[in-house]
Amino acid sequence: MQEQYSIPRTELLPQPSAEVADAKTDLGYTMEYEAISRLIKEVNETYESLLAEDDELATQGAAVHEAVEVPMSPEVLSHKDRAERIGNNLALIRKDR
Amino acid sequence: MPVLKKALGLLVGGDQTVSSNFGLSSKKKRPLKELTERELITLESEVGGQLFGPVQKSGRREFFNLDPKTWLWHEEWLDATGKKQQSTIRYEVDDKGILKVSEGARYDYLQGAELDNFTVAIQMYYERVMREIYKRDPQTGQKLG
Repeated sequence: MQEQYSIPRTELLPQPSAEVADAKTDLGYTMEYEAISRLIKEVNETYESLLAEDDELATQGAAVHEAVEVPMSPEVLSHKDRAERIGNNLALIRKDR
Repeated sequence: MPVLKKALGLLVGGDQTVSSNFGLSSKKKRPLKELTERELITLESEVGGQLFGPVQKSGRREFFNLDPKTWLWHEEWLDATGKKQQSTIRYEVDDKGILKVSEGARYDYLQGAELDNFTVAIQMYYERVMREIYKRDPQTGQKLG
């Protein structure tokens, strides 16, 4: 009988089917997602502006670093190596006196 | 100076170090073994202080290697008014060169003529202490005959 499957008007709204529940949930998430994505967008914009500022600072820092960091000339390297060698030899000879 | 006296006694020998009829004592064979590392450095410093010419009669100069990466210069002198002055400079061998650390927290890397002078001085120091104190060939490290 078809009556068996019809919804009596007096009954309460039946429990939603799984399919309907999913649709509602998706709708809810979509709304939340829009809010969240707006927030994310704002955060990203702020972050990107900070990154740009940071890049600028990093570039400035690198320039300063290059200006301060004078590469060791072969001459200085040679003096340094010799001083190290002599210092090490003296330490050894004192131990082996 | 006690260290020098002690060292001299050990190096040239004396009543206490000349031993039995059987020859030299172990002290005589390796006299420097009796000295502490600090005493050895004091001896070296006597040599180091002579590398830069004469010192004022009432003055004093020391130049020595403290450890593999540190050299020290210390000088005392009387100024024109007779007041005692002194200066200590530390030279540190680091990754970037020879750092000169002067009093008053002044730091400079040696360069140019000063760097050349430093290297010549430590080379001379090494040659002389190896020959005169340790009795070794500076090139090979072998004992001198």
